[in-house]
Amino acid sequence: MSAILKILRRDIKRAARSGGSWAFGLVFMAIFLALCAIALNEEMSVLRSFGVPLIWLALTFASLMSVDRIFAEDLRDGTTGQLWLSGVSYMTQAAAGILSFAVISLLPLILTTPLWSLLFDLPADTVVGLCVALFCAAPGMAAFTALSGALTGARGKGRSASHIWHCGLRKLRGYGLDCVRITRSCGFVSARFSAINPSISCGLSCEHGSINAFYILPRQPCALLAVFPHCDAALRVVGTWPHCDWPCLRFMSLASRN
Amino acid sequence: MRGPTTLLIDQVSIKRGGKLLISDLSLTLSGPNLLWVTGGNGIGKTSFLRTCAGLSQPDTGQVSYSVGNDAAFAPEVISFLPADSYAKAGLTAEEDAHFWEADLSHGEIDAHSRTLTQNLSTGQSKRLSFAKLLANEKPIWILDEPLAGLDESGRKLIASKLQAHVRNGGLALVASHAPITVEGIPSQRLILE
Repeated sequence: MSAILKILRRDIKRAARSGGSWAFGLVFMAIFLALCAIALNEEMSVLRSFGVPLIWLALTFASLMSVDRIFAEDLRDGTTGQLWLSGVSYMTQAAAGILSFAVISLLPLILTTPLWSLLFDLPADTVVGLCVALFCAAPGMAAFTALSGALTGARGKGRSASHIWHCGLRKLRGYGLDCVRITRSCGFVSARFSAINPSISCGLSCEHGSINAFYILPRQPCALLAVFPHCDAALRVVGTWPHCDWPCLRFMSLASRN
Repeated sequence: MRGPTTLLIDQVSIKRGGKLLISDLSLTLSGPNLLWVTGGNGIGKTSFLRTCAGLSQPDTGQVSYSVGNDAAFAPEVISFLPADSYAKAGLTAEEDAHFWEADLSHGEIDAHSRTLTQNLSTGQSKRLSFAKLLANEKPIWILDEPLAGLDESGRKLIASKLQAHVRNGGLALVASHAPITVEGIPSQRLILE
């Protein structure tokens, strides 16, 4: 735990000094929602009905602004290897990356939700329910986005693939997020994900010379095998979280050998 | 210490980008010893060192470690100094060192403790990396171009620490274009071609 907190503290300090790059997601969300509100005309009943799903969608997209940074930088500059040699397992590093992402990138987006709700004139009880739902979904969303980063982001070019993945979110329902079946694109075969009511998810990606397979099962001993594509290990098992009754992730990477 | 630390490289082959860099290399090294790895640019020195450090897997063969008669895991015995700095931009040298529980004075860079790491020179970054290596000192040192970018005093500093490490029974693998020797200690030279 101390290693996770140490990495989190380091990342927060760096984000605070980064000249506001952590706020790109907020800027994106503001522009996206403002344009949507303008495009939907000024009819309040229409705005209200679209408000919740649009905020969900904007938050999902905005969270992707930093997907490349979750693992890629540490992997590129050798920090991942040095931390491993100093006794910090890959599993701990993956957990720290997800936590950092949740705190630095996702939390500001969720905290500003009441502000965005004003654009759509959402009733107070709806705003409260939406905020609670977003908080509840935050761990799942963070893990989901980190998974995108791990799948695709280690050597760049990840963002486009992740966008395609997230563009598969075809169905937005109430306060929850329900993603049903992702189309075949960029090597992804299928995925099913729900932030609040987890269902079985599985997928296979094949890109940049690496093969990644994963599945997500609800209420099972949780295991997260973080993935660092292009690593030389044929199978990089990062670790396990036993006895975790949480939307769980199991992830394996079969990195290719050149 | 339970006995001498041994690095066993057993029929290791390494490929990168489809190109075979090292084929069926076998070596057994025990401390005190120093292996100077040399060869032209792109010949595979860094890949070899990363494989020895357990950071990459060989395509065939295996690398293993032991302390005395007991098998060891890479994080227990390896300290690795990469060729490039892994200091994080946005942190001062002091903060970066603190993250790794390192003492800047070991790299004789305490005068720059408040300098942001992105503003450090190549040599200063190398000193910072070296201070971090010393914070986590283990029986096997793997150093990739440790002298690159360093001034005379920096070279002397690293040479003296390296000598002390090997004389204390440590093992060192050093990739360098410049000759590396430790007086009174047998050193081997591995030329990659």
